[in-house]
Amino acid sequence: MAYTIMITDDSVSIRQMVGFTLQAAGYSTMESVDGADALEKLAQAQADLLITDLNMPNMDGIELIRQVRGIDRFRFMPILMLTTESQDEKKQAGRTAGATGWIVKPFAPDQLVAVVKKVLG
Amino acid sequence: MTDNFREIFRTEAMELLLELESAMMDLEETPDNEDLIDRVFRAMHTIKGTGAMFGFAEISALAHEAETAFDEVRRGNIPVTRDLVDLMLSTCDQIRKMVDDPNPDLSIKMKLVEKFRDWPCPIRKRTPDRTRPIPAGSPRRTVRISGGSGLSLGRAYLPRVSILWPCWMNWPAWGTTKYRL
Repeated sequence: MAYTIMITDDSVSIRQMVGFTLQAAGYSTMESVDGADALEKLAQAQADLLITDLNMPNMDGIELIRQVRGIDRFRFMPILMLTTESQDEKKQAGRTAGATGWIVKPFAPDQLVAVVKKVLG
Repeated sequence: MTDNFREIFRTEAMELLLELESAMMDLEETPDNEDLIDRVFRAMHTIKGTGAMFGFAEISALAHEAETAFDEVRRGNIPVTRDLVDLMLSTCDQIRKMVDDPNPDLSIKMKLVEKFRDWPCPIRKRTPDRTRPIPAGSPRRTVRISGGSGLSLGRAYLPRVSILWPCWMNWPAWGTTKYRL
């Protein structure tokens, strides 16, 4: 069964690039535009991995990670943050909130797939 | 497909620039409005991140300077003044030109970058000049870089190494490979 990956980013370019890349690699994807949207969609769907941006309106990535970790069925789901080089503080906050790892932007499609394969096994 | 992504980035960047300009003009009326300040910061952050992803390194570099300035605004270290609004609007104009033109004249971009770097920040010293010689005994900070893939993955999934980086240098340029091991 194909793994389902939730992609949360307020940038449509990033959502499309990540979505297209992961679908081409055989994964199913869902998209959400911010933390609040992701939580709403995750409440009604199953996901095997969450990939989230950190700076977003309404609810940022850190708060999303915290809330997702509070939901029983997502307690052990891998969570990857999309960060930039200048976001060390946020990255630490994300790890504290329960993120599994991070990917630094910019990244190439094959690098993304390699990381996803590692965390999904 | 890469061209498709670049086109999607162009469309998104143009929308973000419109939003930025409208937020900057509103900020001129209400310079302490935190929602507007957050919107400006996030829009610049998105242009920086997505620009770097889709091969617009120069746009990303300029947006980084504007984002850094607005991070200081967010922290209350820099006030929103008419001069800062003007600089941000010029930056929006320049980014728009660079989105349209594959080989833009970079001299204006360099001038804008310098203006951001020289912007008075009463609380904290801003990024110093990259060309300044290394001061003797300068303190160093640690930067993590990844083990060859260009990614940094937390926990134990990938080997990570640390290198020492003098604190007077800027963060590594987007998309370069010279820091890879």
